[in-house]
Amino acid sequence: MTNSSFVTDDLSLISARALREVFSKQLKLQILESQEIDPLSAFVGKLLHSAVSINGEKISGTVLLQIPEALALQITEIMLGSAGDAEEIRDVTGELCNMITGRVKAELHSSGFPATLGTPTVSVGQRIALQQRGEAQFSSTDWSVEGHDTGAFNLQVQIRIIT
Amino acid sequence: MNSKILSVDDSKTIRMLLRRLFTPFVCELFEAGDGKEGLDVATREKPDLIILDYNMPVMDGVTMLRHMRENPELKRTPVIMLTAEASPEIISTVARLGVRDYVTKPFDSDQLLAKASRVVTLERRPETPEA
Repeated sequence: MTNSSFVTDDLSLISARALREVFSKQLKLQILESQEIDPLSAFVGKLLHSAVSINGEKISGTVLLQIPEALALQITEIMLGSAGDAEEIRDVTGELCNMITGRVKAELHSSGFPATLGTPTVSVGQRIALQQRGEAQFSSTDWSVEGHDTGAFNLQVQIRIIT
Repeated sequence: MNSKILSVDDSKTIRMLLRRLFTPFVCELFEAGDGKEGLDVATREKPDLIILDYNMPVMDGVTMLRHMRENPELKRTPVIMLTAEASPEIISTVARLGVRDYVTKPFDSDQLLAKASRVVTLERRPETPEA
């Protein structure tokens, strides 16, 4: 990746590394990239969405994590040691996205794009997509947790280089 | 005397996770949701260790550290940073402010515990007898 531009492939790799690191280190879970195309489009049930912004002098962007409620419940139990209430489940989802965004940000920083993180926002609903802006780089990848039947989850990353 | 540990993080998840991590040990745990509240609790409780986030509303971790280092009662309080922020500039700034260690999120709980035990004595609580 150069200082002047980076391509979607790089962004997908950065996202995958960030996601794998957070799941393996914090949750002790291994994840697999889904071979299905857009598995969440057929998902029936509630999804928790968490978004964190990345802003710097040379870049701006967003990381969006979407996970089924069943997976959010499981992650909450792993992190807190007990089933959480609705607020705790939302907070855990936000913190998870914050950690992922932190790792994405660290890679962007080492490639010459320093930035700061925003505060996580969390909502509940159906699958959503980040609105793609002009020349922004965009990556959307779908994943599942190995050995767990909690459904697919999705990570979207959009980064725009400010010129 | 029990060790006093203060966690300062705007994430309730991280505060709960640290509570869970340190509960098996003989220590007193205190919590704050931002740097300003953290400074108030630190001034009141004089903790033996502070586990501090960087990115928080109201007052960030570096500002809290600067205030602590200007306060004769808190300037030597050991601090471990626990943050998703891993930029070399921030690491260098907090190193100059004398933090003992720097742990980036995501983190391994055992590793954090090992780093904390280098600063405070962490003795396991006796098992509660079954009823």
